Amino acid sequence: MSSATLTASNDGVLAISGEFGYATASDLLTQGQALMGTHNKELTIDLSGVTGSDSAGLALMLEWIDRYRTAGQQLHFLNVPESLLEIARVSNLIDLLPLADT
Amino acid sequence: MDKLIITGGTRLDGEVRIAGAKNAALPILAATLLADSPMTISNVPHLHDITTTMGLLGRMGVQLVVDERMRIEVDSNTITNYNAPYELVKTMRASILVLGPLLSRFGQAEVSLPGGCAIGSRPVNLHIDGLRAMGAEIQVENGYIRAKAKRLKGARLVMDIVTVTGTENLMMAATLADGETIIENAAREPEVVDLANCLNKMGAKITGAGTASIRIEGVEKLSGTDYKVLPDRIETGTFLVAAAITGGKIKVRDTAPELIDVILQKLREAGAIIETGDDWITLDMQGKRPKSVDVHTAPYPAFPTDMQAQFTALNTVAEGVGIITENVFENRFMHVQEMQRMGANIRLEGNTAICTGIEQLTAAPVMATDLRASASLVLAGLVAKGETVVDRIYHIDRGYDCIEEKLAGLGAHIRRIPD
Repeated sequence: MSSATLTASNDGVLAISGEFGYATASDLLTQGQALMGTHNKELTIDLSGVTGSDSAGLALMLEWIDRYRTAGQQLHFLNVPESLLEIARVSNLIDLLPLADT
Repeated sequence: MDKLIITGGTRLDGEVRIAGAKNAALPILAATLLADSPMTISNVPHLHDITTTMGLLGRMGVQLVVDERMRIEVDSNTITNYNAPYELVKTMRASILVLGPLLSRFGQAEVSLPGGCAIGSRPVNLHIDGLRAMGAEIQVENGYIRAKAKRLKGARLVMDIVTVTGTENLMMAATLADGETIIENAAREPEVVDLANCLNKMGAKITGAGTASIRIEGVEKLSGTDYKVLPDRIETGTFLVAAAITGGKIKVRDTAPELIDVILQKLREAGAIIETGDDWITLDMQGKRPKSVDVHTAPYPAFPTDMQAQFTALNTVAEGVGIITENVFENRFMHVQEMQRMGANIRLEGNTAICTGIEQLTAAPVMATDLRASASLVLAGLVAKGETVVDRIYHIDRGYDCIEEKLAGLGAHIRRIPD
């Protein structure tokens, strides 16, 4: 069974560890919802701990962008796996992703 | 609309990887509707028509996931509706391919009629007639094909004309029909064979794919499987012509040489030295100018119409006079006028283009009206003096996966300018 966790740190960074895709997207969405609003206006999601991903992960990123923006928070993604960026490029969605400078 | 800017004069040199064939991937994606368990499709090209098809399936409620290796996992058990709307079908005629699978597995389908086509008429009446012969009730009204059937019944279907999508649609429909279906005068293209191989892997009983007579013994159900789409023979041919026209030397990887015997033969006639392996082809022009070749297009295994424009480009700078006869589609010489603007010496007589090769083309702003014509203008740009601007490249993006990156990787001076 695939699993993933979303861990908050004090400096406005949420770190994902584990699978980031179809098997875990729903659970991560719930975890992210619980953490929404508990951070500064600027929030970064760090994907360096992602062990595998698919287009459901990309869909989750887009959902987060929408929800956090609606909540008045600015979201950035850090250390996005190249394979996930490739899916975003092929889907013509790459320009929608707010990528943080590494 | 994006443009491609090509500075001609560089001999292509290097290796290029060929993508999966769009014309196989699209029907195979449609075939996933027939499976009663999830299936995974790999070697799918990164093309707009593929994402359109995924969008079409997604709108029906089918669950799709693209994994890290760009494989597409499809589960059609979550389907909620059986409708292919006009706004998607009008952008991609291949949407009609969902008609047979939807009707066969779910007993109903509502698919918009496709619109016109720039390169000639491609009627869908053969799809409809075939399904009716298998017992479907079909109404064509308000621009939609509305079809119903309890369970399709096997039938002997004689196609008036050879049609690839017609053969594919009816073959898919017949897999779950009651009894045996025979499709006579079937299309023989490798993409039809690839679809049949995929369906057989899912549990279908199809024999004769690749011949003019295909037999399908209907089964109760099909199951999901893993399937790798065959390589794109037209992309393969296009890169080989690109190398030949520039006097270059390239190796094409992850392809299937046996699918393009007739193209390789024409390239040898043009003076290319060609070697092949299991999944690769090398072409070496040794820096020489190509010789003109005569080409007559016809359904597979004869010379493909989808390579006609590229060979027209080759003939524009080849030694001698080459005659190209287009026997498949009417109105498929739109690229000739653009090549004439680049200085090409081509005379059109009905469905024949007579080309006297010149030493070098001259760059010009050009645009094209279909996918292969666009590709041929890019090839012409590779050997034109100056900077050729190819407009309306959304056509080329529909059929070639990362063409400018791949050509640049072979040394071409080519870049994309976003509009």
